[in-house]
Amino acid sequence: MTNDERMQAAYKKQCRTTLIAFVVITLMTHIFPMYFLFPNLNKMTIFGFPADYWLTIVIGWLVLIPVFWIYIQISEKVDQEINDSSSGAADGTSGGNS
Amino acid sequence: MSRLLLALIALFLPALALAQAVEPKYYVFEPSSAVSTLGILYTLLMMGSFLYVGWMSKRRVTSSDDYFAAGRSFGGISNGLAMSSNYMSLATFLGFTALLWKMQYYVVALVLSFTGGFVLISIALAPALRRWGKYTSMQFIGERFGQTAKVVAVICMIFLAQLYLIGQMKGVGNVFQVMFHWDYTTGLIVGGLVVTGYVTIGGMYGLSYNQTLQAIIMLIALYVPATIILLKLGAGPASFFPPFGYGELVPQMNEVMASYFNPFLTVNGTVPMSFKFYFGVFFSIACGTMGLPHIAMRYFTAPSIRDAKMSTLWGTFFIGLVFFTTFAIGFAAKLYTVNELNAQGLQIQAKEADLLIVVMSQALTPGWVAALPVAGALAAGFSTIAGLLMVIGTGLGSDIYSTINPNAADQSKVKMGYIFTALGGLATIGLALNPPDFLLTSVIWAFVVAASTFTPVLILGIWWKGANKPGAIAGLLVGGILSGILFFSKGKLGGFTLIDAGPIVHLITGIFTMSAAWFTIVIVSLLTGGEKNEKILREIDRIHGWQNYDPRRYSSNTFALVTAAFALALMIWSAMPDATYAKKPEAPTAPAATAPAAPAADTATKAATEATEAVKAAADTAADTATKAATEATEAVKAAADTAADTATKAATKATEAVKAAMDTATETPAAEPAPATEEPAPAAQPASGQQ
Repeated sequence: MTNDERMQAAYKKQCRTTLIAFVVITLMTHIFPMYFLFPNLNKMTIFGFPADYWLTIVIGWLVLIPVFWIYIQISEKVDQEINDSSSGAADGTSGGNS
Repeated sequence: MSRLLLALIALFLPALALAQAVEPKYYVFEPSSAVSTLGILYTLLMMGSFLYVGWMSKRRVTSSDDYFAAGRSFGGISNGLAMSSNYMSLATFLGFTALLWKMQYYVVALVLSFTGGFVLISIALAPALRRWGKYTSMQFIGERFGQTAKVVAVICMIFLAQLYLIGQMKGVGNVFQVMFHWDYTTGLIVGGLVVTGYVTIGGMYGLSYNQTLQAIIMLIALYVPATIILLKLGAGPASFFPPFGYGELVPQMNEVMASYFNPFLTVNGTVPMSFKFYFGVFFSIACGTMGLPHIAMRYFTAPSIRDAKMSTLWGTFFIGLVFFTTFAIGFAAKLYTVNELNAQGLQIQAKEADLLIVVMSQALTPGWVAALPVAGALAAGFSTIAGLLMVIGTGLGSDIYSTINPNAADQSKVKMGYIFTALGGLATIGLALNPPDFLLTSVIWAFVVAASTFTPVLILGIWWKGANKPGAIAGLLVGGILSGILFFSKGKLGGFTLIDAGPIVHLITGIFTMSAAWFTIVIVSLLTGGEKNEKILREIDRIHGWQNYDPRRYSSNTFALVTAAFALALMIWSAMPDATYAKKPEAPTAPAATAPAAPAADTATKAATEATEAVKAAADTAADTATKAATEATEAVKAAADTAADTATKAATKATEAVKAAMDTATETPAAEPAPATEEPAPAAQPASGQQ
């Protein structure tokens, strides 16, 4: 793999990671519209609470924390790849605006 | 005579009953001497500590980097705590209960959207802004899009900050007024001067240390009373973790407020929730949070990108801990109100509902604990005010001053920071002396304005090289002006209904205004040829961590056009009427937890209608009965009075005749017998119907 390809791969990985993390965190903290799609989700109770209430808080807060921690680890690796592949590399010359 | 009294009582009882139904007794909170005394003590100690920390922090300020970004030395847990206290305002302590009762499940959606937005900043914006190496979002906008865009951004920031600040300052004044019986103006001035003082003196260092301290105070002040209150209400061992400590009490809540956990109803269980409402939450609250300059500022104080992200992680934990403990308080407050206050025939008004954490603490916890929420509320208010004052000081002292005087020395910028932070504080105190009426919604509006101005400009400025100066200025203006107009006119533009926003106007408006700003930036940037300045284009690569420059990166016009088309579709969708709002208000009776949503809603509607009709019928019957009884009583009294008058007249006539006869007899016979005054006593009033 050439250095240019490594940089392209790191660039795509950065965009992909950010986009996926953005969407996942958004969905985790906004799961309530799901109850319109799956109204049966609030039939049951969990630890005494209505399931919809409990799931919303647990997923949007307690589950969010480890998921965000995983994102931090991944993004650190991507940043490292970006730094390694681009340090000392020449500027790209091809035109943008694809 | 006793019959007459009975008749009068019969006459007035129904009227008294009716009067009581019209004017219920309201609970009025009066702090106990222990709460008041300890509250003042805690408050004075706290304010003294804040000023001391601010003063001590002054020693560390030797450059503008120190004053505006705390030397970029705040990371990990301490910055996480500072982030959480910066984010949580006085309303988290006071005001949240009434909001929770009114909006119910919808508040869960709002709070999680806050939390989500907080994390999204550190994914999409903070790393790049931190690498840019400045102090505020406005500085980024200035260097990325030019000085005009920066000035517009600073104006938007001041507007946002004031919307936030006046409410917080007013809250501080109110706390002093209610808890310590201070005059509102005195409380406002004392509290306002303390916070302005320690931020001005200590700069970002003083702010950061104090915000860390305030977060600890807030956690203790909320967690300890919440645990004791839940234990006293019978929540069991789970009370020791209040965010999930009230599961055992849920059946009680379903009995007293069936709509409390229903995700499909809001506004006291009377307004049906639509998918669009929830969608509006993301655009207004999460995206608004991403754009708030005082939230983004905390990322600039971290030593590294990783530290900034780890601070966010901790901040998310603490924010959740405080917010979901306030949910427990709001929940407990409802049960307490129904079981204790309503049981005594007392109704609760919105003002007292806001104070229920203090009310319950006073009733259920020892005095030293009961005074804690007062200190916590003030700490929360101070932390948010301080963060906003700092952003004003930085925006004017650093951003605008360096535009006017580009060659200003570092120490001059620090001096300007001192001056503008102090002026910002004094101006806010002045404005809060006579606060406007729309305060309750002004904070939500601040989020909508942030989502419609800063967020699209920051995201596109960081992730799309095509965004340029005309696009950014046009986007800021369109987003700012549209959100302002639509807020005031509730979705109308010049008499024409632009958005059928429904009962919770601002959130739906946010979809429209943010999409409009996004669409404008993309289209105007493309029409004006995109960004051509290579220095800026190189900077964009650098802030993403690249050591070299490649024009292919972050330059996809196709992606930008797709997002613009999506934004246009959202604008149209948000403007369309929502069939949900055309429905009649509903009030559920079935517990949300045990019923499927749609059938539950139908059943609830039917049950609510039947219940309403039954209550109305009962009220009508009671009113009719009371009126009838009153009429009968009046007639009985009148009849009795007439009878008594007749009898008296007859007796008087007879007496007169007797006297006349006696006089006649006396004339004829010297020793005459006296005649009786009356032959028989006048009968008392005839008993009223049913009152014998």
